[in-house]
Amino acid sequence: MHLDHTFESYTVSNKLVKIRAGKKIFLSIFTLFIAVYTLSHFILLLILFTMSSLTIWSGVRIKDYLKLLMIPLTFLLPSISVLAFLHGSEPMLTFSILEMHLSMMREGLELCTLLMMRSMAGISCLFFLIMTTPISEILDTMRKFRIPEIVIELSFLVYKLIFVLIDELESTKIAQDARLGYLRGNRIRSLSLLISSMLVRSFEKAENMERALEARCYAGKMPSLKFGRENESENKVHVFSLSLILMILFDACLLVLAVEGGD
Amino acid sequence: MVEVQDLWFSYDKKRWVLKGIDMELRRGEKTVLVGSNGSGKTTLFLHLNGLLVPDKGTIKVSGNFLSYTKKALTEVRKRVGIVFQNPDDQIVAPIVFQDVALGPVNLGLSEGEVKKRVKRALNELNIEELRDRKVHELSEGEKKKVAIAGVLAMEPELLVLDEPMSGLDPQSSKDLLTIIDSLCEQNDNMAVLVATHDVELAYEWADRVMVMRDGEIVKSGKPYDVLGDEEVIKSSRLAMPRVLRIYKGIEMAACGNPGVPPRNIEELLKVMRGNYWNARRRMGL
Repeated sequence: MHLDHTFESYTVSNKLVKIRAGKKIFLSIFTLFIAVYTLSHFILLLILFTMSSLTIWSGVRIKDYLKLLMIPLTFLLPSISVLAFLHGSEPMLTFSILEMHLSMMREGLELCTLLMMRSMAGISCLFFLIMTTPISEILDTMRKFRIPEIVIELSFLVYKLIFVLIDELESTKIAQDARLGYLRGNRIRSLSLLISSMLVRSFEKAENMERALEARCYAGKMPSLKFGRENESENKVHVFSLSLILMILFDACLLVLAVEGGD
Repeated sequence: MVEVQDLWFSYDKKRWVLKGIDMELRRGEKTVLVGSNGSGKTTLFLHLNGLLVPDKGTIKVSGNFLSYTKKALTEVRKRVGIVFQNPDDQIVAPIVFQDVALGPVNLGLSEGEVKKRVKRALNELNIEELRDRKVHELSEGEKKKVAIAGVLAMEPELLVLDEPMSGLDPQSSKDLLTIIDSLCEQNDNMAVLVATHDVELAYEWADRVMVMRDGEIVKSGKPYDVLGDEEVIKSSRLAMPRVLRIYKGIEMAACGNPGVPPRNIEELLKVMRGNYWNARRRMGL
């Protein structure tokens, strides 16, 4: 699976790519704030549903979307489930392992559910942004908001190097598989070799990239997609504002619900 | 255009990678640097636009000694464009035109100028149809062309290509050669320097050939003189171009009448046919 490639192609070839990055950033960040603010399960589910269906509608395959969703989930599940045992005072279930008593609390469980929903809603907002907007557009918008150049450049390089790392990981893994590196018994040794060689090779790759960038006078500027557009038609501009109205309406509704309902 | 004098360099300060390189690249000339793997070709190239700093020796670009201040380096990198061996290292943007625009945008050119340059660079390489394609969908040959376009968009005076034919199928490498040829014709003040271990290519195509061995340039001159020198070729772990070897063989057999040495198979066949008819005539047939 070429995660990096599917990913980068989504950002440049989805149905929403023509909409200005600023609007998409506005939508996802504002919705994210609502998700952080609200306590209502209904709103969180609404956000999760709308944002992920919007992302999938824009052209992301469901399978790939779920695969990407698994990445934060692997971190979230263990860390959040711990809370159920730590928070609150009313035990629901008690386990005893080796003279240790662990009890799951009712309040803790409620907190868990809320946190889980909130993080999923937040993740769906950010996924919407990163899967419909090319990185160069996001960086351009960051520049417009006067975010320091060094931060922008760093985020670009980090973004780029993640893909370099994934590429290296894949080719090294294939090379090991081809020589039966993952038969039973070899696994741990192969994995450690993989990790150590990844470190060395990613340094090499990074150095090559740095040289190539330097050779082309790279000074922290990434060309934006606007160099590709010959001229924007009036019609599209109209659609843009319609999309903006829709976004504002959506967020306004959510906000009203969150403030009014506030359970 | 570029003059290198007595250049010494070592990565680890123990083993010299470059040992006193002297070379001169002239405008309008296609120079090919041949050398086996690890002879220091790439290291030498990295010096030409100040990516590496020599331990000893000087580099002159357009008559000025290379200085390593940021401003001077930008100026030099504008003049000397390097196309690296692996296009994946070089291409950073996800879309073709974005990557080609990288150099010009970072030079701070206006939007109109950037667009113009991108258009021209893509046009010069005949890849206008790739303009809006995603880089990772391209074939190796197409990626190579995009990498070259990215360098050309900076309008360099010296175009340096590191192993441009590696990983290309015969047709793509032929196309690439034709493109480089037409580039040289269009901009007559551009110099081209190509590193390769493909002696056939060097022999057929170069105006001047330099042979590099263990960090030294052992011989430089016309393709026939350099690549026909058996001693130099052998000691540099290279092979004599086939056309040249066959020609040398029949040259001895035909006793005399050397004429102009052939540079490719077609010319060699012509020589062989001529020899055949001469021999028939001599034998009174």
